[in-house]
Amino acid sequence: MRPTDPRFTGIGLGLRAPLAEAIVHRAPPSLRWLEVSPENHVNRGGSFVRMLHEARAKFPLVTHGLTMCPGSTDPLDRAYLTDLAAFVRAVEAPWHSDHLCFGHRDGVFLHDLLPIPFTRDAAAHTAARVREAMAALPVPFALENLSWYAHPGEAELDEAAFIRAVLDASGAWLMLDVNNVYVNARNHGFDAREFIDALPLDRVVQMHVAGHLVAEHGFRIDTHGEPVCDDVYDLLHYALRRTGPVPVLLERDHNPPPWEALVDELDRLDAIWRDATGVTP
Amino acid sequence: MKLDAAQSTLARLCLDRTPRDEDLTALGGDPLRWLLYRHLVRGRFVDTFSDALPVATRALGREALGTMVERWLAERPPTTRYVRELSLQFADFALDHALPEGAPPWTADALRWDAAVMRCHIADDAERVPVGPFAMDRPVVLTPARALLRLRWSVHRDEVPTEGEHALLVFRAEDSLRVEALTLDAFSFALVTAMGAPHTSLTGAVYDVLARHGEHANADVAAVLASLLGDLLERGIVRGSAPDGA
Repeated sequence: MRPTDPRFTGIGLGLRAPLAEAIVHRAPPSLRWLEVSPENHVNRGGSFVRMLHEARAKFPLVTHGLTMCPGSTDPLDRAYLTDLAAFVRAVEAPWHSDHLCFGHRDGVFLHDLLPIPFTRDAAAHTAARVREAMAALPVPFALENLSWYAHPGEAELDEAAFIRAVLDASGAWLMLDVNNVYVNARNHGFDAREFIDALPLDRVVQMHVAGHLVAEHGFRIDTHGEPVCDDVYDLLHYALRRTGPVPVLLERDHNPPPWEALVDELDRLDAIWRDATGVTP
Repeated sequence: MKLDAAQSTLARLCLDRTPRDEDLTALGGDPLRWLLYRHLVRGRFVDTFSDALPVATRALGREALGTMVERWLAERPPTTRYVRELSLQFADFALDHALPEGAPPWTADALRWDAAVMRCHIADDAERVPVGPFAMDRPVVLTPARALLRLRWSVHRDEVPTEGEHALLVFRAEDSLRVEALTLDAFSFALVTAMGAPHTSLTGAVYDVLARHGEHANADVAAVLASLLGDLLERGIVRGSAPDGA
């Protein structure tokens, strides 16, 4: 049974320092919950502690990690998992998610979400690491589909089959990033709706939407620094019609616009969410 | 391509000073897309340091900063998962190596200052050591959000720094959570340094410093000490004393 939490319905927003004051003091009714990255907060004092405290007083929080890197061949960092579990417990997150990628190698952190080959071996390796991580976490765990610009070597599976293989073998849930699906579909020339249909949609616990950069020759780069485009709004509507009322997060990590512009995006997402799900959050 | 080979190859492509043709060939597909990864990874580090090391970036300029980042990635790449610690690792590397030719003479001080500010800004001040009432015969408990810094250039104060001796206590203010700096005289600087030594009572620290400075306890020293301690207690830099048995 898909994990749910009545606090997490409708639209959420990523808690980022440049947005924190507005989130706490000028949030629109369409904003119902927040997402935080534990890496920004664990073992840290000062303004981020205050920001988290003020945000928690107003909104429920869910956690979304950046550096677990389940696809990495490095050993899992037990100290990181211990800190992560404590943080997830402390903020009462209903589930935790991270990316289906690698980002460190031989102890060197590249601070990017890098692609892993769509092979059966890679799926088995990743699923084993996810199971290990899940055993250390106090809440359900979800993997996010990646935006990727190139594939290392020859693929044995298509991306949807690869995601399904990892989820089936690990028992993890899916964080469906609709913008990533769109970016990949445009860059690699497949149909975004067919891709979504090929995913195990009963495993989706949450969705992400974000803006991306359109570079030379129409190539799309996942930046989280631009407004959400119309096509991604449409794709979100399509995805929500198929998953039912799972919570949707707007990611805006760079180039924060005037708060009013972000509120417009939240309100538009809220309207799409209500229309697609038939639910009033 | 095996998972292990894919990761070592892509990591090398992102970190090496010059991308290798054999890595691009091994990864397959359009080389430009792999070079995009390299560009994004490297650009993110430069952006991070531009924000986190503003004074040093102003001194170096973005191009020279980028050159230093290239060298850092190739020689001592980042080993932390926390973005907030990246600039500290980079500053340590830059201070261990020759700075770019043409960099102004205050660049090293700018790196030290920016790193001290960052350390204070992010320091975890959750109570991990017991704190008792302030007592002269016990070790002092200082805030972890502090750094002592000796600078030869006024990078902490001036857009165009001037040369001179600056002994600073950098700390995070309790109320505003902003990072500030107190200018200390030589005696006070030595005393705050001595206070940071574990298992040394405050009285012991004072006598150690007096002995090193060739001075004796007298009314002037007592007045300086009282003023300094009052200031440090008021600002929350001194939190109290280690209780008996701690």
